[in-house]
Amino acid sequence: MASVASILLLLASVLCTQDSVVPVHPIRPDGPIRIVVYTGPGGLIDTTARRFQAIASRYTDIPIIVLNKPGGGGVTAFQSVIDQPADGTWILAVTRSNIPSLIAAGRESLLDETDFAALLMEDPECVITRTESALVTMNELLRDALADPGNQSWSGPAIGGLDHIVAMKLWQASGIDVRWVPYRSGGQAKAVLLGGHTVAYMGNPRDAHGNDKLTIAAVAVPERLSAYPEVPTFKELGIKGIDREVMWRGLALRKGTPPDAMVWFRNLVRQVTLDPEWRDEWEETGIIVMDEGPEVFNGIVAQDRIFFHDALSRLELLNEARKVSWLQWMVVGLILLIGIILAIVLSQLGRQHQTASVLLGLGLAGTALIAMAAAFELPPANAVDQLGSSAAPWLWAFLLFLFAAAEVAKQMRHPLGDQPPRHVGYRPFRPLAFIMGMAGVVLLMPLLGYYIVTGIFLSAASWALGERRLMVICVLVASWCIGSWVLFAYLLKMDLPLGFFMSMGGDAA
Amino acid sequence: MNDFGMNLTNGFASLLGAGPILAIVGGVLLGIAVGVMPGLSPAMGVALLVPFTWEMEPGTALMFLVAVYVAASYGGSITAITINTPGTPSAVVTAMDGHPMFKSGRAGEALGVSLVSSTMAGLIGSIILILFSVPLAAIAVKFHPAEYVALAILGLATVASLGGRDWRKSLITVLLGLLLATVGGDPISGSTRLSFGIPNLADGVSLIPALIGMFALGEILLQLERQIRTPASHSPSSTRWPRIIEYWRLKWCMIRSSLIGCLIGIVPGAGATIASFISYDITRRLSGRSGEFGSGVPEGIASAESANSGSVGGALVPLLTLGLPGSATTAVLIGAMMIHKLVPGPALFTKKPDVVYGLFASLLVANIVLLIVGMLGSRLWVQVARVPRALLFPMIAMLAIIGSFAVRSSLFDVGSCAAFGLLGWLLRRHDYPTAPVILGLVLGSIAELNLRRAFMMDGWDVFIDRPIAGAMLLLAILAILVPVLRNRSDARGVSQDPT
Repeated sequence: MASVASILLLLASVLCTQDSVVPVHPIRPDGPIRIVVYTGPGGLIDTTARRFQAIASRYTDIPIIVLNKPGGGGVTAFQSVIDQPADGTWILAVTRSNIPSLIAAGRESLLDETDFAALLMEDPECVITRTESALVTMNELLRDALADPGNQSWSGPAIGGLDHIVAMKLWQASGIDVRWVPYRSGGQAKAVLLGGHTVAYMGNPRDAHGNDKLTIAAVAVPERLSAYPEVPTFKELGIKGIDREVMWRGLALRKGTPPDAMVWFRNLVRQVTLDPEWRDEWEETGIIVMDEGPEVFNGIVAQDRIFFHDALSRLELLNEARKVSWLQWMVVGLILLIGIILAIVLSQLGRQHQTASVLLGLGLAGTALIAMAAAFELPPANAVDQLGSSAAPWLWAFLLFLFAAAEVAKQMRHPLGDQPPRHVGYRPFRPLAFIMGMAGVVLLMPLLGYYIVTGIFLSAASWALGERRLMVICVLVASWCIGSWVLFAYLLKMDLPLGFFMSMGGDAA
Repeated sequence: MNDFGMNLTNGFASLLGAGPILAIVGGVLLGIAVGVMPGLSPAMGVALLVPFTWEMEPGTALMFLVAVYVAASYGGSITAITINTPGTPSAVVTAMDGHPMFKSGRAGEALGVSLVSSTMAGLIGSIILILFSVPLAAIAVKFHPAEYVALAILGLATVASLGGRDWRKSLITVLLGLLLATVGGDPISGSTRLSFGIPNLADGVSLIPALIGMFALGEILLQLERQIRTPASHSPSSTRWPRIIEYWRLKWCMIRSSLIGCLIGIVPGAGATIASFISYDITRRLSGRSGEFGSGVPEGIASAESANSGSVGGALVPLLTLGLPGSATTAVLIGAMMIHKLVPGPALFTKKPDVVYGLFASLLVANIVLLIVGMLGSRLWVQVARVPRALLFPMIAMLAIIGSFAVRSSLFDVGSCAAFGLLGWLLRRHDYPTAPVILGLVLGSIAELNLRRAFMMDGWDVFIDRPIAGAMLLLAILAILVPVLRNRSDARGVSQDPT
């Protein structure tokens, strides 16, 4: 019995071993490859993706399309790749910024469904100062901050982003108390530094590249960068724990991508990262070009998740995704009730146009009330942000409510104040039908695709509006589709939806 | 000849060749195509066309991209005038007088004023860039968040001009815009505001779908409801171009607005929208016929378009001299320049004078090419008036759909465009002006975030410590109050007059 068991065990182990040593052959993807970027065109990650596209096209004849899907700090882009089949044709361009954004948005689960397949580069964090200021070097900054705690202002991107979190780590390590002035873009944050309104900017060496008005004070890498040999590291300056703070950029796939597709993808990445043009382009601005596979990259992401979880919870930015609260539902219900009652009363009095006017005012006042209820849940003012996040929405909502309610009252007081339209052939339901048609386009486009839906909508709407010449309608539809294809697909390389059925056909082909 | 003259001469000499000229002409043509398509902003157009330049010489690549920028900034006015679809927020101001002129059979006049104003302003902005870029950039970066607040409020003060006699309705719509501007991520607290758990709202209300919906769809829906026929579709006046004397009458308006556009464009992050609204407001107040603005006045188009195009030259000032983006488009240009191993900033003038001065020369040439191409193209745009509405309305709706989709490749944005279309129709149906919604949406976050930053940096008394900001704020308050008080006293006068 024991021998049978041992034979079975041996057989099983041989099978397992065989399975693990079966060579995986790279298989070319069937269709075009899409690189999804989580920002709009023009950002650094978009530029990275487009350069990858350009250089990768030298090594493969498969078309590569860059697709911008901004929204929610990466939520939209991650979701769009995860929604596609895991066949290696949908690639996500990722940066380290995605990790805190997804955690803060309560969508960390998207990271579990993503395979971080290729780490392309690391862009070290650094402190940048104004060359013509009295505080240029890191030591000068630190001395000044220690002498007058809380008086220095540093500028940089939004609270809770990588630059802010690294800056906080730096302040803690060097025992200084500094104010962070956040901006939406690095360009504006640099402008206030150049204007002398802040004393330092947290960013990357590329931000100061070739600009003699800006000085890199210190950089967060273990050894000095070859592109900036004169710039000290934080480690050299005796600041511990800021040895390797980088903004990484890379490519990811949906988890579950078959090994053969992964091998093909890894081969392509290797060819691009060895290309001298790719390396020179990035390295001369202080960026470290790399090529690390999923084993290393997924490990880095796992460490980052722990790091950012800790940092964001200390900043109290770990909020669950907010849903509509019971208070907001109550406000909506109340407004609907008042609206229905008023509509019935005014209709009974034969004042239809006035009903619409009152309902519009009521809708605006109701929107304001809902916003006021939501604004109560926002972070209030504090010692640093003296107005707080809630002040502006609350104030605008309050004023909107006040004036919209006054407008409703005015309408009610002066029943004949708002004259009915004097136009001939007044048909209020035609616009609604038109909007319904557009809603149909939105609903049908994922299924039928842009071109088919365009054909249907243009023909149906033209017919409904009185155009009876079939040839004219056909010419219109054909020229519209050709024009869209030339401008969007051919010239601007934008991906118009092909729809479920055409995509299936494309895959089969 | 000094270094400057020599460099500029060399810059013009660098254009002598098929490559640069083709790049400029191609850039202008593609730029117009981008500008005409609602949803494709100049920034997006430039970014999407960067791959075209991979194989070009760096200087030629920059000429091509800047030509796209110049032409796309103008292109938005074409759809604003012809189909009331401003592709960019600054083109909203052009639509306010441009579309009424188009509807009243003055299409050629409106398009002509728009084109000539744009190219004149482009030339003025370029000359300012060439002559005064370094000192102006030094002033621009001195702008404190408090000054941004004052500038934004000065922009918001123009709402007093937009609403006609019923200032309450203008106020309601601008407040709606301001409220919508608070939706999405708050960079100062790190929280997400008023998004109600919808991921697509986490980055805020997408401006372009809102713009297209509110104006293009709002207009169609209103016309469908009221059975308004586009008048004078075959009127001979619709293709009549303005005479030289008519342009000449607008000279001060163009020069003043170009300077405003250029100066505001220099300030990083301020942008063409504030410039267009402020310039329109100033022109209206200085004009003897302020009551006619909004019903089809050439000065309205000239002021808006001059400020918009003037801001292009302005936005290039901080880009070239300091390596800072003055606008969204110049932020894209920085990335493109880096790829071509051109490092924007002070060193560019000394290390690559051929590229800088070649760019200066190409800007002047691009504006002249734009004038020629625009004149030829306008013959075509005028024909929009002849398209039957049974074909035109579905085409505009499709333009709105594809334009909204192009912004983020998102069907949510198409839905958002339709929702704003419905809102635009309802507001206009009840005589609420829609331009203030866009004004609030654009300027709301500039005003709020900079106010918070100003307090963070220098405390509550920042406006007292910074007299320029304080004076601008005072001016803004007066700009709001004076028309309101005047309207009230006029209304009282009418009610007391028994006749």
